[in-house]
Amino acid sequence: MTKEHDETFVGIDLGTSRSSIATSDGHREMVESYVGWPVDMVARKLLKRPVLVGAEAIENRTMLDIHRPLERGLLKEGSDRDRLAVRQLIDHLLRTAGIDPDRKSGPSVRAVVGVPAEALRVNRQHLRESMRGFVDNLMIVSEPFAVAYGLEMLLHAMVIDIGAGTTDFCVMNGHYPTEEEQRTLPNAGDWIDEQLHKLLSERHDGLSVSMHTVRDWKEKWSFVGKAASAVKVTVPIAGKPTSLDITAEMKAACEAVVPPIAETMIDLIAAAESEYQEKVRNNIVLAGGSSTIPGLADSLANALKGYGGGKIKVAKDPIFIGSNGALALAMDAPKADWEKLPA
Amino acid sequence: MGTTRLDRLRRQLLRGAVEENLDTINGRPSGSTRKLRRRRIDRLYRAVLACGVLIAAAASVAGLVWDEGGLVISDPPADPLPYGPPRRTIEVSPRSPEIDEIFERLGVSEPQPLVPAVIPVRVGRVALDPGHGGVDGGASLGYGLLEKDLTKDIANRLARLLRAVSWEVVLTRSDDESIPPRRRAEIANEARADLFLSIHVNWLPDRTARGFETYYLGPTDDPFLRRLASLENRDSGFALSDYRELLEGIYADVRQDQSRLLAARIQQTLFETLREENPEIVDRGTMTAPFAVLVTTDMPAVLVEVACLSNDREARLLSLPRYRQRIAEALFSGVVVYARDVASLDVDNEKGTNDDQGT
Repeated sequence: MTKEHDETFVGIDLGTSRSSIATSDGHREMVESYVGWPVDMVARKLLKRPVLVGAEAIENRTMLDIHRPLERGLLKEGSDRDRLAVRQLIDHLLRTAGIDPDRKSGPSVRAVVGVPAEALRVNRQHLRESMRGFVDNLMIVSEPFAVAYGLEMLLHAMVIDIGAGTTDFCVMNGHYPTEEEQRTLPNAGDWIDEQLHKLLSERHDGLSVSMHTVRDWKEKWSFVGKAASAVKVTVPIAGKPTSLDITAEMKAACEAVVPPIAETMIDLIAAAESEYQEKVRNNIVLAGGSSTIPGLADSLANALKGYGGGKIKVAKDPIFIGSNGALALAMDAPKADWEKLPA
Repeated sequence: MGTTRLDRLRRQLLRGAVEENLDTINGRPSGSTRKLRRRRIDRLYRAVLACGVLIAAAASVAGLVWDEGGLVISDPPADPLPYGPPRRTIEVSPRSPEIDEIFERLGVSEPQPLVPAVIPVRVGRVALDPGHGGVDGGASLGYGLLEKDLTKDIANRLARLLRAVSWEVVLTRSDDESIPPRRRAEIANEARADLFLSIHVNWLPDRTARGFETYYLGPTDDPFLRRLASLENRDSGFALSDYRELLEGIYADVRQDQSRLLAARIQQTLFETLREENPEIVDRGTMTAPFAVLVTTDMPAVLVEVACLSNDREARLLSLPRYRQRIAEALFSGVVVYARDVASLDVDNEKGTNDDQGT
């Protein structure tokens, strides 16, 4: 599937919670964005490896100094460990997709990586530094733009990419989107987890649950609007296993994300040229892991009713839609352009 | 959509993406946003121009003799938004032929856009203090707006504007970390900053209240401001034994005039800039309050509450990057105008001293 024998094309969606990669060789892989190092010699002996990445890192988190190298979709700028974690994650992602990051020969690897719409120049430069040595050429684009490109929604359309760290918006008007046509909100999957954790802690004295557990609950039972069934969990309260009905808290936490997303969506539609606003309203796609929350798309469509109505679809394959779009960009870019963009 | 049209669109989009990447690699502002930024900066310079020309006119009317001051200037930038390496700084000796050129550049009769390079570099290093951070989120609103994130974002935007015109910027925090007010002041003092700007977002019990206000150091009788100061001073890092000295500092501070001037300039430019975006904005004025972070800074220092997060409309505006950028531009403008004021006063004072000696 390579465009030419001497090139391998790669599309990467580096996410706060999950990262995905799609290659021109047909690989599609997803990795949880966690990196962990054994906390001591005992842990190292038990785990038998110097570093764990992805789901393995989450499973063994009690024995690890665990890092999420991305925060709100951007590389964390913190300790050396944070910087190392980014490279470990990229290394793992490429290996999983059959690309040897230590290769000395073979086809050139040309990668497109999606970042939040409003990622600053400095964030993009950090990403370039982190990718150095792993790929030969690198293009960084806004994540919702990559999604729109992959879906061929290039004209009078809006993509809302609801990930873990950020919700990214992009209006496509037939040209490369400007700053004013893109937005990033911090209200996304992680933020819903925080709201849920906060509500549960406030309403249930003595309840102590980790953010990981809350995230698992959200991924299983999140909803906006009417619950399909009651959400019941069993958790230890003061050491005693207790059954709790958390339907109301789940509803409140998930629905809290609707107003900021709806407001930004309407704001961007209002900024489009008036004769095209209706087309944009009827051509909105939700992408990203959190876009699958049942009832969310309907709720956002309801918010459009007062503005003439509109259609909102949830993209199929929300996990890979970003990396697929990035791969499409990578494969379409002319060779001459790639040569201008060394990693 | 026809295949040819789709292909053409794809090529156009790819060209845009490649150009944006080349701009990032080469350190240029993004091509797709360059025009937009240029428009904003042009507006900003026009606002500064109005104040600058007034000062130049006042100096001219007062008969300022520039050749007794020994003026330090920089080359004027060719571009109103000079990204790239810092501009060369040159010393202009008294009675240099270049003085005429400087007068020409500052010319009252033929006003021209004020370029930052003609601002004397007496104020060249600014300490920016993004309020709150880490476990201390500051004010917050139900849907994810946290004061600590907003202040950091605005400070970063302001830092970029200042650095773009070759000013040095010291940030008291560059990450989401909890830093006590005492340490924030120490960072500014250790860096020998020329002025200190603490950025905050207000939360008022009256949810209909809106607008911005700027504080400088001083006592207050207002119980609300006392409460606000005590909240902001939480975990200040000062021991009880430090307080006597601190309180004496509040009353005896000699920087108060400069801080008041800085507060007034910032308040003025905030109003002029933000009312375009927010016509209902309220200028809540400059005030004094004993914020710990203002007490121990060695330089003129102000604390700006740039908007009210408790007001629904302002909260919505604060969630928009465009509005935060406008706030940063307003603060930038305030700092530039203040710097120019200070430079003019210095020249004025030196002239007065020399005149005294001469008589």
